[in-house]
Amino acid sequence: MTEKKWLNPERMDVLIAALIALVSLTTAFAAWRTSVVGSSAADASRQGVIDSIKKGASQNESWRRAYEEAGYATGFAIESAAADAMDASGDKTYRATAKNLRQYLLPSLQLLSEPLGTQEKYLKADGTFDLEKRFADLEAETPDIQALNPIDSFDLADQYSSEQRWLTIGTVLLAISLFWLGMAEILAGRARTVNLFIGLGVYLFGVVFLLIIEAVAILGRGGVL
Amino acid sequence: MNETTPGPERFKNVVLVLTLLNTIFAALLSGLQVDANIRANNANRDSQYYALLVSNEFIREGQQGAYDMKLLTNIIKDTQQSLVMEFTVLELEQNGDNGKVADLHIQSQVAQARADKGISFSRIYSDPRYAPTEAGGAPNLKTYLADQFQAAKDLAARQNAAADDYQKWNSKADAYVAVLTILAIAFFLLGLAQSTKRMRLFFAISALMIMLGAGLWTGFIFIT
Repeated sequence: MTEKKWLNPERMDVLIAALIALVSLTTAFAAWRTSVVGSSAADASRQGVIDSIKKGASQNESWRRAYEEAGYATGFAIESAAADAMDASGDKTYRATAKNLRQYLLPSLQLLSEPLGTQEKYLKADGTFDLEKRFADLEAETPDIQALNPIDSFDLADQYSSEQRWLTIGTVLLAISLFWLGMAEILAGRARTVNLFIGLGVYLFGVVFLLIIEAVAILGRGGVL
Repeated sequence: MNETTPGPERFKNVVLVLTLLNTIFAALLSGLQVDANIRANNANRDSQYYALLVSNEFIREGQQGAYDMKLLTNIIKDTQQSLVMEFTVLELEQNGDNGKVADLHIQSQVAQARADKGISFSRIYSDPRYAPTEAGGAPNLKTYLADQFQAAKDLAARQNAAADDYQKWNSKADAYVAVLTILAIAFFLLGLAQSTKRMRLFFAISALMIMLGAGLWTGFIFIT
């Protein structure tokens, strides 16, 4: 059988119809994959926002505790200074008041200010409390929350979005191949063959293009689909 | 078989070509719509993220402000109390009423001790940016308040920019959907053109006009 005979109009009709069906199927598959990737991007973005909320709630609580302790710690220090001044006055009544302050009020304040008000590491050289250090220590108490990184989720979402864009371009390439195959369907003779090969070429290019995008994207995510 | 068919069948081929061109146009437009949608979603996400950061920063600044201001008001109150008691001591001494003088003097010293200790813990008094430049002077609260809310202001500016971006890209995505709808009308007209002989050219030209209009609109959306 010669090549010319193999490419007779009847066979070409069947070939073009089969190719149009194949391109349509591939386009549908590419559209499905684009949709999946888009959903993954949305999921990663949502995860990032959820992680931000969790992290923010934890940080708010840590700051609240740090400043609460600082309030008690300054209260303790101020009342201690007042008690010292009362002792220094030499007055019996004030000394008795100072004694009672030290016995009843100050221990409670000190207890409430722990550990910020009792540990040296939280006291700065200028006399103020190192609230950032206390905050960092409070945050370190929740390693699971600290492990959350919204920016990582957003980066992953951006990666999926980028893949979605390229897949859409690949789908457009498939649509263009459909155009040339459609032209081949309505034309005859040499023009038909030329259009058929252009359509087939664009289709194959589109498929390779899609496969490369998928390979690069999946490898970029460390094998995650 | 000829390469092209004559008469009405030739127009039928033209209609088919227009249909295929419309398909490609719709595919390209879908790509643009997807891109605009992705950008809108990302901007929306960033806007939400920055809104959360602004909110958290306001909470932190609120805690810090409450602590700093409570300490400051206590310092001012104790200092004033100490001074008023000393004035009273002086008045009583001038009037020869010395009965309560010693007691008031101790109370004044206790209040001053409270104030002095408070000052040693106050960021407003220890940070050179806010601390009084002269003994007994007032701290620079204007700078303190400006600095206090600067981080939140910066985050709010980013949030606003992201929200504006979202509006822009969301409008574009919506506009592309509108153009896609117009292209659906062109598809409908091309379908009519294929099914009729007498009005084929009319429907084909109408569809072409719509496609050209849609093309111009797409260009306008793209560049704005």
